[in-house]
Amino acid sequence: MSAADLSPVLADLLGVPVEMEERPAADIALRDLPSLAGPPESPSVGVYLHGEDGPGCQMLLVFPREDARALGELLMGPGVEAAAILDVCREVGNVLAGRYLSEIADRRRGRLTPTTPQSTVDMAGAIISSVLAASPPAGIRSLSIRLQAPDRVIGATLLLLEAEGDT
Amino acid sequence: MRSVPVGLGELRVSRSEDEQLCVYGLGSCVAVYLYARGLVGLAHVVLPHKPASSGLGGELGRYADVAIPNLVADIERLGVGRGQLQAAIAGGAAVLGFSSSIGDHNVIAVREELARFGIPVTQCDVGGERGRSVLFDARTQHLDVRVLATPVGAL
Repeated sequence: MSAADLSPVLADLLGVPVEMEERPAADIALRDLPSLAGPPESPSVGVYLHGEDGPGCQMLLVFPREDARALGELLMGPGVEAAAILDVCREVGNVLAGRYLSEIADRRRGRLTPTTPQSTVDMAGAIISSVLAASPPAGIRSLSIRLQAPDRVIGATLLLLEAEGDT
Repeated sequence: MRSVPVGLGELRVSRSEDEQLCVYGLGSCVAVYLYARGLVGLAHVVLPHKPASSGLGGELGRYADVAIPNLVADIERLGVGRGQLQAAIAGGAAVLGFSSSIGDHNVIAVREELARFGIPVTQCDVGGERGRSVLFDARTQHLDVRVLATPVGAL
């Protein structure tokens, strides 16, 4: 699964150009995990999913709070409520997870569907470290996402953890 | 006062009253401060126990059962005995509402290790479902905990 595989999925869903770039795994140290999506204290929306066969393959999508709001307004219009913003973020996570897990399922010659997305609004570092603390940094892939909305760029960070044997 | 962030799995000891050891964006991890007059140590604990299969290397502060003995040893090398130490702990949240919380296990393991060394926990802010940032003021020996105000409504 590469950034190039996921970008068209998101572009189709949102109707805007999407750029994704993967950070080399070798550059990610344990101490730096809370900073993968920006300053660790920054208010953010986190969306977490994993494969229904267990937490082996996991996905965490992190939007800075202002970018989550911009995404909500892109899809729902100005003045969108907080609950709807979370719905939009969860839907984006669901679509990305579906594509990601489908590719892994093809490799396994099986079927793998995502769990219902869990979401929260909290400090970016708290969200990331809670999901990734138990995983060695070598098993984590970090992709930065830039959505080119009409009036601004919307940023997010996608973190993928593949189960041993799926890498 | 200079803030000194301590990353996941790291240990640090400071004898400077001008340094404020801190952790920004703490989730299920636990910040373990050991302090006495004129000295503060911090371990940023990530998991409760070191797996038997893992090697000797790695971050000294990552596992509670390795981090706390190492932090006590570092402090004792500076001439402060464990009998003089008090502990302040924070973190161990279930962010994203994980049903089986690593945070709870971290807090239990930290308390067990501190009890083994006879170090009393005098300041504590653990559990819940919210992330925290924590700072320790070496002058007042006070633990300062920050959380996001009304996180969902603020969207």
